Order: sequence, then C-alpha cells, then structure tokens
Amino acid sequence: MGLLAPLFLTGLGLLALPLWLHLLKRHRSTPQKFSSLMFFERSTSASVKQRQLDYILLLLLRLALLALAIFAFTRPYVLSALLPAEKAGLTIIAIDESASMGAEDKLERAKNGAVGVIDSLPDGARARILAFGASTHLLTDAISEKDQLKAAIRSVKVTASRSSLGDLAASLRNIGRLTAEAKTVHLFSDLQRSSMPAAFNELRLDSGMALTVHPIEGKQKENWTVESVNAPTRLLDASTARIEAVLAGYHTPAATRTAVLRAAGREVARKPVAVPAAGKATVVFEGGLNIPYGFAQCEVALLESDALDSDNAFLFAVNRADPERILLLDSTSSNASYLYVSTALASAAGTLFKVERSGPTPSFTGVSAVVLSNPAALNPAAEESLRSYIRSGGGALIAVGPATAAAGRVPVAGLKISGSRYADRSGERFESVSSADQAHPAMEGSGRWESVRFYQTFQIEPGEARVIARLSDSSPLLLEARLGEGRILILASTIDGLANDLPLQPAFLQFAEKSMRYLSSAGERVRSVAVDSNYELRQAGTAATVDVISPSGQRALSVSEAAEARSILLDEKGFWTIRRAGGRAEMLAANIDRRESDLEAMPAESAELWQGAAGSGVAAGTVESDRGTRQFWPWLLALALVAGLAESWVASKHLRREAA
Amino acid sequence: MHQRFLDPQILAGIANLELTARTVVDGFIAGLHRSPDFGFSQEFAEYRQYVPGDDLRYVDWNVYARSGRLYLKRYHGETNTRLTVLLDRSNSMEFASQGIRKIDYARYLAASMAYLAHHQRDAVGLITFDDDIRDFIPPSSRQGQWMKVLHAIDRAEPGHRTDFAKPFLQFQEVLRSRGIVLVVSDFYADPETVARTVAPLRHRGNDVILFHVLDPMEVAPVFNEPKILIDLETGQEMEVSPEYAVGPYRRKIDSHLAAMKSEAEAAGLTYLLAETNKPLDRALREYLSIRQGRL
Repeated sequence: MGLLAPLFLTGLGLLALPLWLHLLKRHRSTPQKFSSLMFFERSTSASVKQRQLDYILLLLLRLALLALAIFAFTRPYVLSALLPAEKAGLTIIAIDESASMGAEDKLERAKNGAVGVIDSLPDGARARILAFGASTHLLTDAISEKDQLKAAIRSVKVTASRSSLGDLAASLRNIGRLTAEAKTVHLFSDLQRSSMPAAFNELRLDSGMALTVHPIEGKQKENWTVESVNAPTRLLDASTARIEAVLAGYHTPAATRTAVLRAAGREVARKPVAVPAAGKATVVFEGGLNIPYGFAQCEVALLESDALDSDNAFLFAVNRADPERILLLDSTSSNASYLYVSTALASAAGTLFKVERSGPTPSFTGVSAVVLSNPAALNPAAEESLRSYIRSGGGALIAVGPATAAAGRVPVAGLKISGSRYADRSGERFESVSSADQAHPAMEGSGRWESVRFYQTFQIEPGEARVIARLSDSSPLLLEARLGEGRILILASTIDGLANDLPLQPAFLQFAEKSMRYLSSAGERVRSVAVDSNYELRQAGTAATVDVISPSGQRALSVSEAAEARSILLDEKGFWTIRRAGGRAEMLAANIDRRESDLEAMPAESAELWQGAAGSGVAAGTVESDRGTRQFWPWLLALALVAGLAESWVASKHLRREAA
Repeated sequence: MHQRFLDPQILAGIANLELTARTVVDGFIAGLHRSPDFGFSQEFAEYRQYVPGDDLRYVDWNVYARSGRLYLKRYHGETNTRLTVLLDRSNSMEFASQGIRKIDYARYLAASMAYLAHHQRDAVGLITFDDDIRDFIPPSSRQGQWMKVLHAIDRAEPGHRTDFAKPFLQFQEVLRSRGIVLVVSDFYADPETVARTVAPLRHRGNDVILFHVLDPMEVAPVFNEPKILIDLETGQEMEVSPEYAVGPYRRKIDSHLAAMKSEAEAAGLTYLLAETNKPLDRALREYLSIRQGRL
C-alpha cells in the first residue's frame, strides 16, 4: 500500500483534540445532598475511570472520524491484480520515437514489448497505436485487427524529436475524452528525466485511464555530445574564420574526445579535446574555412562512438558572400552623404557593407539596401522599380531633405510632408530628440540621440507608419513604413551634416550599421535551430511565395502553403533551405535538441507515482507487471461519514442523559 | 377503603398531623392492648411450676391436692400500658429522594402510634432527640396529653447531628417505669453501639421496638453519573461513582441492616425496617402482631 499525498498525514495531529476533550478536560460532578456518607468511600479514581469508560465509544468514534478523513485525503492505494473487465476496453500503446530511443536497440525492444502486449490481448479487444516525440502521432484508429496493429508498431522509427511526456499526457487526456470506456495505456519509453514537464501535474491522466509503464532501459548512460557551435553566419573572409564548439558529457568519466570540423563535405580540421567528468569543454577552430560562395553545410562532430551517436554532430550553415551592397541615391551633387554613410558603415561593421553611389538609372538587383539622401521626386519608372524591389523584401533608408519637401511627399512610402521647420538663432536655436524606441532594431545600441542637434526638420504625417523617435516638439523624427515584405525607414532630416550634426555624433555609427543590418536582414539569419522549432517565414499580409526544401530534399510546403504559411515546423534533422522572392535564399541547420543527450531515466518512484496518479478510482498498472493500484479513498470517506453519523447519535444520547 | 390513605405519598398531602394519625389508625385497629404485666385479674392465663422463692399465695392448692405438685396460677393483667416514642430529629432525617422526607415518615409513624395508644387509653409520652434530648413529654393518659404529644411531634424538625449515647443515657433516667418504648430513627451508627445503647431500656422491663426509617435511595442508590455527595449532618463532600453506589455501597448497607437486625434480636429488641415508600399500616400491623405475640 502507498500514499499519493502523504503530507496530509500531518493532519493526524488533530487527533489530539478529541483526546484532550475526553481525557484531560476537567469533569464536573453534580453535587447532591445525602443522609450520611457513613457507607461511602472516596473513590475519585474510580469516578474518572467510569467517566472515561462512559465516553470511550464517543471518543473512539471521533478519533475514527478524523483518522478516516485524514487517511482518505492522503489518497492511499493498494496493489492488486487487474480485473478482467479492466483488461478489456481500449488498449492504447504509446511508443517513444524520440532521438534517445536510437541508442542501442531501445526502439526494437520497445516495439517487441508492444507487440507482446498486442499478442496478450484477448481476441476482439480493441487497441490503438501512437508514437510520440515532441508531438503525438496516431498510427491507427481503435481497431481489433492484430496484424494491422503490429504493422503500425513495426513502422515506428527513431526521429530527431525530443520526447515530451507532458505533451503525451495532454494527448492521452484528449483521446480519453473521446470515449467513456475504460482505457489502459501501455507506455514504452526510456522515460528520460529531461522529458518530464516542469510540473508533475501535467502528467495527470483522466479518470478511467490506467497507465502501465514499460521502461526501456539502456545498458550505457555515458554520452558525449557537441552541445553548441558558435560560428559566423556570414563569412566574408574565408581565411579568418573562427569557430567555437562546446562539448558536453553526461554521466561520463573524464576522457579525451576527437572533434572534427567538416565544411561543404570535407574535413577542415581535427582536434583532441579533454572533456572533464560529466562536464563541458570548448574547442576552437581558427584559420581558413575554404568554402565556396553561397551557403555551406558545416558540422562539428565527435569521432568516437558512445551511447547515442545521433547527437555527436552539430550542424550549422555558413554563408560565404561578398559584402552587402548598399546603394546610395543622392539628388544633390554633394558627396557628403556618401562620405558620412560609407565611413560610418566601414567603422562600425568592417567589410560587411559596401556603399555604392547610384548612377542616373539605378538598378536594384543584388542590392541589400538602398539609402536615399534628400531625394527629389523620382521618375515614375525608377520609383516603381524601387517599390518593386522593396516589396520583394528589400529595404530603404530615406533621409528627407529640402528637395523631398519640395515634392510634398516621401517617395515610395507616399507619406505627406506638411512643411519644414527651422531652428534659427533667434528662437530655440536647435531641436533634439525627446523620445526614442530603443528596442527597435535600428535604434538598438545607438546611444544618446539627445545630444544630436537638429536645425532643420521636416514635418511628416505618419499615417500608418510607425513612429520610432520624436523631436522635442513631438513631431516624428524617425518612422518605419512597410511595403510588401520590405521595410522603409524615414528620417525627417538629412544625413549630409547641413540640417543637423547627426553624422558627426557617435550615435550615427550605430544607427547606420543597425539600420542597414535591419533593412538588409543581414543580422537576422539564424543558421542553427533545434528540431521541432517553428521558423517564421513571413510577416502577416505578405503574399510573396516562400519555398522550403527539407533536409531530405523535398518541398516541405504545398503550393498554397508556400503562398500563405507564416511559419514552418522544422521536424527533421539536417539542413533546411528557404528560398524567397527576389532570388534570396537562406539555409538553416536543424539539430537534435540536446535535452535528448542526457540518457538518465526519471526516478522509479516518479514512474510509480505517475501510474498511481493516473486514472484515480480505477486500477492502474505497475512497472512491467500485471498488477494495478487501487485507490480506496472513497470507501474511507464513506466510513468517515458513517463514523460521523454514529458520533452524532452517541453524542446526542449522552446529551439527553446528562440533561436528564 | 382505608388502605389507600396509608400510602405515605398520600399522607404527605394532608397538612394536619392529627388527621393523618386518625386516618391511619381508625381504619386499622380496635380493642385494647394486653398489659405486658401479669397480675391478679380474673382472666386465667397459665399454670407454672413452683420454684423456690415464689410467693406461696399464688399456689393453686387444689391442684396440689389432686396431683401432689405445686403450681402457680397466673392471670392476664387488664391494666393500661405506657407508650414512649423516641423520635430521632437529626439532620440525616431530612433526606428525601422522592417527595417524602424521612422525618415526615417518622412523624406520621410516631403520631399514628401515639394515637393508637391514646385510643386504647394508654399513657403516651414523647422524646425527640438528636445529639441531645430536644423535647420530653412524660407518658400520661390525662386529658390533653395526646394533643401535647401531637404538637411536639409537629415541632420536630431536623437540626443537629445524631448521637445516641448522650440522649439514651438520659432516657434511662426518665424511663424507669415499664412500658413500650418505640425508637424511630435512621440509625446511622454502629449496630453494636445502637444495641448497647438501647439494651438497658430493655433490661428495665421495657418492650423496645426499633423502627429503622430509611429512604429507598439509601437502601438501593442508583446514580447515572458521578455525584458529589454532601453529608447532611457533617457537610462533608465526597465524589462517588455510579459503580460504587451499586456495588460496594449496596453490600455495606445490606450488611448494616443485617447487623442491625441481628444485634437487636440478640439484645431482645424488636427491629422493623420502614422504608419511606412503604405504607404505614405495614409497620403498624407488624408492631401489633409482635405485641400480640408477646402477650
């Protein structure tokens, strides 16, 4: 017998209350006059004894009432054989298909066990097979054909997912609500401790559902893994690549492992790494990473085999590319804007960006972002070309100047310019920034804009554009407008150093770099994610097609999904390729969640507790046995009720007698 | 018809003690007592063989002439007798468990006896006592004696503790002439002490009858819960359990009653237990039958 909530046993202290009332409370005898006490003897002890005996039944009933109620709250259970009726009903077989089941022959053993359960079912009994990792897959309906059930079991394969027992329990609860019949769940899993949810309550199953856990234990727990890799996502200079990898050991002794860096299908470097016992070590690969232009599939792997080989390699993608091209369009003949922008980007981002001045007929092909300095009205063809470029995911920074104000509107974005404002020597002399959204990627880390002096600003009506920064007169200074998949940043002043001293301030360096990264998406590309992660494909409302190629080389999205899907679940280990409109491509590496690398199983007590907690009021299985736990707290509560009624009756009897 | 008026509970409803006594006696008895003394009357009683020392005047010479043996001829005396009632008015007589106090029962008994004797032209006297003699009316058959006795009985209310020794020493002084002595008490004393104290009265030629008045609760107490009992005479308090009352106490009181009876019989005293829930006529009948047997 066991208790599910033993803490309630502390309530047994309440038993002292009736004991105090019955044994320690001072008793008052009724005084009565009598002829003579000649034949009486003082017999106080006998009197007390009599009183105790007189109320002993009441005391026992009260003690029983309290003890039974407290005992019921502890939810005791006993182990007992499953009844035939409980063996009938629906049998649900859940098989763990997470990556850790690939260690040794765990999955085979799980499948064999599941087949054994199917064989032991009486003819006509219905069963349902499901496989689970991070999510649950129903492999069959509730059927009684054993051949089909066995075939479904045999079709289960190890995936790269991590197992989540909390999600499994939620799925089982949903399945349990479909029918009212008794259900017996047979769970075949290695029951990793890392698979347990944060709160044990998330493992609860509905009443009427019995759980039998079949733990699949591995012989070996020592497992090393490449936990993470820190590598440049964009490689401009192949000769100066620096790649850091963290190796981790779980339940391992101190050992030396060999880390290998592979890129584009060939080994680049190899290093022995001393990993401390159950600890971590870092290995650094420096030097040339001679990979072709474009995305390269890279990995840091461990040569030695261990308990779980599938986590021995960490995949990552590196994009070798030329510097991002920034096209600067200036309506004036001044070279100031180009000078300030190119110098700022060269100072802040090195060779990542390359600023080019546009000719009379700008071409936006291969351009990462466009900077328009004091643009006048563009000719319709050029403006449409720019608009088309932005719609397909491009970005533009428009610094409004007198020429723009003369046109009365911001080109491409279409925002109306209502006027300009001068801060001359007779007035406040200059304006400054009063508020700015420092969380915006373009403003992030750009420091103190308050010290920037604006002598001439242009009043832009924001419309639907988002205001990122405002001047001291509350007029917008920096705005963001969306066009298709692209972004437009609008500065209500120039960047040529005439209308303000922004280019001369330190904030301009950060602003130039961050805004160009933001507009060109150069800083967004994540190259490595965990399997089962969702990757955002597009913003809401954009209709450009996105093509996703899975690691196995297949299109992951249908035609409609390619036009509408906002995100995709990366459920395969390997390299995912995402192709967007305008010829831009991304590559993502999906790795096995490193929580799968820890092969330690959950404590046996937790497994037993889970089984005991499952299906309150009905039988539940025990580990690898044909016995179940039966909870009998309802009976205890019923007995407590009976004791309470008896107590009331006896107490009223005493009261009547005392009143008489 | 008169039996129902002998029930103590009904008699308790009669305020007038005289009426109570009349009610008890009138329907009960008629006639005279026989004198306890043998004398020279015309009614023959018995012959007794002569023993040396007997008065030769009472020898029946005719019998001697026929049989050659000496016999004395004895006759019933037709004289009136003297009844003295000794009434215990100690505090313990105050006890009542069901309506009628022991002192009330004792007063009814004393009044009835006194009326009975008065009805037979007997001399009636009364002594009330507790730890001393509180009232003393010498026996007399004069006019008005009966009322004096009745008033004295009516005045008898419990007030002090019982002490047999002191008042009975005084009784021996005042009860010199022979007669009937009726002691009405609850006798909360050692039976041997009681017998030893009362026996001298018997030795002086009195017929002594002990009426032991007890409440039924004293004979067989029943408690539902522990009680703190307060002694009516001493004020002492004692907690008593129900189990003690039905066990050891019953054994002790039974033993006490048995000892009282045996000690009384050994001392030549007549002992009668009168429980306050029993009709009075039973006591009177037993008294008269005993008296009759003695004649």
